[in-house]
Amino acid sequence: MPTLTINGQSVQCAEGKTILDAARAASIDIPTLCWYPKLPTAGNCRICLVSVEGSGKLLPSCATTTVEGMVVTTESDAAVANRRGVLSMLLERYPVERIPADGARNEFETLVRRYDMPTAHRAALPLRKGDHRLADPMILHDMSTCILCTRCVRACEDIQVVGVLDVAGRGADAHIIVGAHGDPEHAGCTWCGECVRVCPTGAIHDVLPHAKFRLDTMAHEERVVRSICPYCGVGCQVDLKVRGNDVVQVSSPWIEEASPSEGSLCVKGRFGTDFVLHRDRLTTPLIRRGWRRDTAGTWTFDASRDGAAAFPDRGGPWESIRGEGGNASHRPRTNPLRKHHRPENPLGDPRDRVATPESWYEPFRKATWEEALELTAQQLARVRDAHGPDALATFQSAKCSNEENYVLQKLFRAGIGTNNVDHCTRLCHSSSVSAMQRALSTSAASGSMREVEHESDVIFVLGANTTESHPVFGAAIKRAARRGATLIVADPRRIELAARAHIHLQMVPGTDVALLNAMLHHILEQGLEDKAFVAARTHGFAAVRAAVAPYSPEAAEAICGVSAALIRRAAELYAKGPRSATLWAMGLTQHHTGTDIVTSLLNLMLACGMIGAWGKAMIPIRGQNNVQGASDMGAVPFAYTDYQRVDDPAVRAMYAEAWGIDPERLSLTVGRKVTQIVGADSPVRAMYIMGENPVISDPDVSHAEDWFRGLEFLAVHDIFLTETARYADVVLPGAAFAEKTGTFVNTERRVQLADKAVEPPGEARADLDILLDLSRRLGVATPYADSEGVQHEIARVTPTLRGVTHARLREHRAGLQYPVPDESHMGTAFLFADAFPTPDGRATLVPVEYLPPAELPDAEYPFFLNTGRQIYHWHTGTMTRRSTALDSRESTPTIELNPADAAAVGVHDGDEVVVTSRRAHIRIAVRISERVARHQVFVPMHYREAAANLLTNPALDPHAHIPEFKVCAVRVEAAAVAAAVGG
Amino acid sequence: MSHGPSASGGAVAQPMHGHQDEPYVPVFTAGSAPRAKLDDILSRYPTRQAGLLPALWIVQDERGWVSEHAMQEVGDVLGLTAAYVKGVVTFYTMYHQHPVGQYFIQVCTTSCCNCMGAEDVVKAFLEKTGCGELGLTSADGRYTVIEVECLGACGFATPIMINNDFIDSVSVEKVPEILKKYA
Repeated sequence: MPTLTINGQSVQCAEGKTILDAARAASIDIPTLCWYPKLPTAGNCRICLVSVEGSGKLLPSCATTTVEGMVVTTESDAAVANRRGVLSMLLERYPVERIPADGARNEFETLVRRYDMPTAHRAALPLRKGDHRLADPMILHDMSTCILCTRCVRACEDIQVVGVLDVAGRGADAHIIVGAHGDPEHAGCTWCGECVRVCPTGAIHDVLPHAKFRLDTMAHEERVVRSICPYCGVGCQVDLKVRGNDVVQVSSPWIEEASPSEGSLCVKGRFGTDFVLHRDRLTTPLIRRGWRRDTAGTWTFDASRDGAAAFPDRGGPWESIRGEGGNASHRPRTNPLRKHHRPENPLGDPRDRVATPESWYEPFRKATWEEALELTAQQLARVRDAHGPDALATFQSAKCSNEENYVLQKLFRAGIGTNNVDHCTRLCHSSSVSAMQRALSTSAASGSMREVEHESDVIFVLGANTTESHPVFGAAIKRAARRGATLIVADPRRIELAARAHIHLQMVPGTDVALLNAMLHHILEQGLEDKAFVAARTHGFAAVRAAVAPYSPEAAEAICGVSAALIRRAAELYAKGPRSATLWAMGLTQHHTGTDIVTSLLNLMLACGMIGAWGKAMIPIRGQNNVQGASDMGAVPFAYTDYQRVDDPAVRAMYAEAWGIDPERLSLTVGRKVTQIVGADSPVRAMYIMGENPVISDPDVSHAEDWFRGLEFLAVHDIFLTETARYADVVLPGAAFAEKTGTFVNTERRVQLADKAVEPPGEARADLDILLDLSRRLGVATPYADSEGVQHEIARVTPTLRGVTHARLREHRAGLQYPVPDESHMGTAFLFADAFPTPDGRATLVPVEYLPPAELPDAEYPFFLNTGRQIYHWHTGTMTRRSTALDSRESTPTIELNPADAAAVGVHDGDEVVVTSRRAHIRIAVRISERVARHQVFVPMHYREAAANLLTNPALDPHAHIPEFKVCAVRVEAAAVAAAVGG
Repeated sequence: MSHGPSASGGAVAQPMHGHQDEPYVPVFTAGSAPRAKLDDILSRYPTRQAGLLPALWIVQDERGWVSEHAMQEVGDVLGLTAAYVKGVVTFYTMYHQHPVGQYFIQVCTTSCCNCMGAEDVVKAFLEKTGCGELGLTSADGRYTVIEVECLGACGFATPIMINNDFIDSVSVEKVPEILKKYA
């Protein structure tokens, strides 16, 4: 611990720290330009040079290690003279006329002012060059203000591990380039904006693509509000810059601030939030024509009045999803923004684009909140009284806060008396939850993203395209691989992580159990299992040993198409760790054998003892910003908060007491799951859907669409008139993420607080207000006025969240990882160091056998169809397709087709094909890609006009009832050929 | 970007072969001779990055210049980003970033050579090859002439290089004779 003197102040710092580190820790300000926290030190700008006694020359404080007794002067005459020299040389090629007379616009100009540099005249030298990009919808480059600090180059290369930017030329000609071609798209840019964040001059700057907020006005926000990104489960914090009632720019927290993303964002978080301002936002409640209130105050529906007859069966003047999927002639093939940059108008106004067709509003009339809520409450009560509580159901929302989800499940459990409460986790990680519950009695990740980045020796990623679906975590995994961690990727597609992996297990879709059983087979054969861990902390090992015995790597090779040698190598690497992390996502779970697949992975993990220590993380990567929280809050049919079972009378008694009601009002019957609620044999007659869009997200959607149209009553609570909402009786306009306060749980159990930045548009209301109003109308007590009050009640009934309050979350802005058992507890970074939360503290290994996917390719349907996400879009596209920036990157639905298959089908890049499964067909454009293996195709799930889920197979996992989104059989034909044969 | 007439070939050069708009044909295809050569080079170094300069030389030998597509290919082959490869290509003066003539003539014009009439030698080459200007390629695609810094043969002014051939003591009179050998 060297002690040094800086500007006469005694400063102590850790061994190996630089003078700059020591000074910053002591709040002594040394100016820097090329230096930036967490970036590799470049030491090229020379502005941070300081005087050190005994040194004949000035020393760079960013690159000089401290030694005992050093005496440093940061603003000595020599240091200041040097700084002025550096600044004057940089100013020679800087457009000084743009520096405001009385101030500074950026870090560099601030230093120019601080050292009182003359800026009246520009030197005769030309301004700096570089790859200018003046017309891009998100990131603009105006290299005339570049000072070649190279922060952007290092941020792109070392934080995001992409490497789009570099320095070309030399000497006076040196300049920043974008890839080899000057084209970010060609260079693999994902528009994360890391370069924007670090640029000290604004040479690289961002533009929320909104004409109203031109660069000059955008910078002048009135206030900054901390919120949580509304997209994936990483839970990045965002700073919303607000002017008036508009979010004008989104930035990330300072890089040194503790937050799950360490201040990084991806394209969706930084540039994908303009949907909040979209003119399609619902601003008043809507009621379907034909509903009227009589003089007694009773609402009835009569299709013969108010023009309702024109819209039978909840329909409207629009095509169904099936109809749209089959008819693509009206669709633009390519995206004009992407192909032709138009410098004169680089920023479109997203509100000029209409994502919701006008015709969708036709079956509705505007209504007051009183009407809409009264009708909803009356109809929910009527159906309950006429057909029993289980004739009602709700889909809650993984995009809504803990408080909102808690209040809605309470409304249905206490107010209606049913456990028919579920949300989209059913369609994503429900099989992980059932497997983890069975093996470990847990439903969340055991570890943290940070430990994967910094500690794990081996990272095993299965069925998770993290660089697209969770880009900020994806970058952390890439950084881990760069630091030396071994990366093993199991995925049927050659995704970016697979291309960077040490081992890519590119298996045939749906053959995971065979692969994982074979890995365990080999580990046991070699005696590489963690015998002590198995003996002390698990049950059922012998049965699993017997079960995997037939799965030799050779046997697995025949099933999975992965060579036995590769299986052996991957198995050995994983087992030898010493610390292996286990990460998975939809590629494992969305199968009719999803629970078995996850179980086989848990068996492997437990046999190797790869859980319960820092660096041995088990992370089912969560897909939505609050899918973990919604599940934790009891938005699942089998449990109240904290997975306390609804069929346990003791639990019921506890909740009845907490809620002040008669226990008999709470049902002891486990409710129906999403995939059981929607279906021909479902008893459900009325639904309340909050922030979900099942008409796009359910498997085999043409059947789902028909089912929703047959409901007696449907209330949809959303921010847009979604494909589902257009079939509703009542549409309740809610609030977008920026318009409300609440807590969210990310993929590593981190509870974070998002603050309200702006008011909802028009008459739209905060979701919690709507739910509380409805609760009161259905006789549920609401002893709280706001989300903070709801959180207090959640803490009371939820042992793992007992210590979580809004006040604490404001104090600990990084959030708290639950369990947080009391208000002094600082959260739990990793779980299961000593025991699992099972009755005897031991985990259970469960033998599983390989079963093929429910539908396999054959002569008639020769291709495997895989579905999933793209980086620029999200889920049913409700938000991202209303973001100019995101939609401009990817505006057309495409199917990924291997070049050899494309040749066989006879199509080229951009051609239209017809993709047919046993259920329906869609027309879609071809993207030729070597990412997909031969005889496999990939269709993204985001597009209404070519809905992937028209094709998918509704085969369900018997435990979790998750559908097999990841495998079905399809036929692919050139559109012209299909037309000729009548397809 | 403007490079001016320089050792890298000159931005104003008329592309005579390997036009940028033609579909790019990779150099290092599996089983090809360049690939074998690169693999041999890579076998001598601990990292693939170490093969960058030789890989660029192979590209230049094969194609006459290093296009942006080629930078991308070299990056892909060596596991480097295209931007990094371009940074290296543009740092050095001897990689051509534009197509050059079949015979790339470098004339030394530093002090000693200048005293011995190097500028006239340059003029003679420009005239006899039909290039006209430094850095431009002759209409028949055969020649590009540039001035270079010292070729290290000050006692034998004026030295020139035509592709990899070194020729010393060149005077204006010798130019036609030399060009006959590189027709």
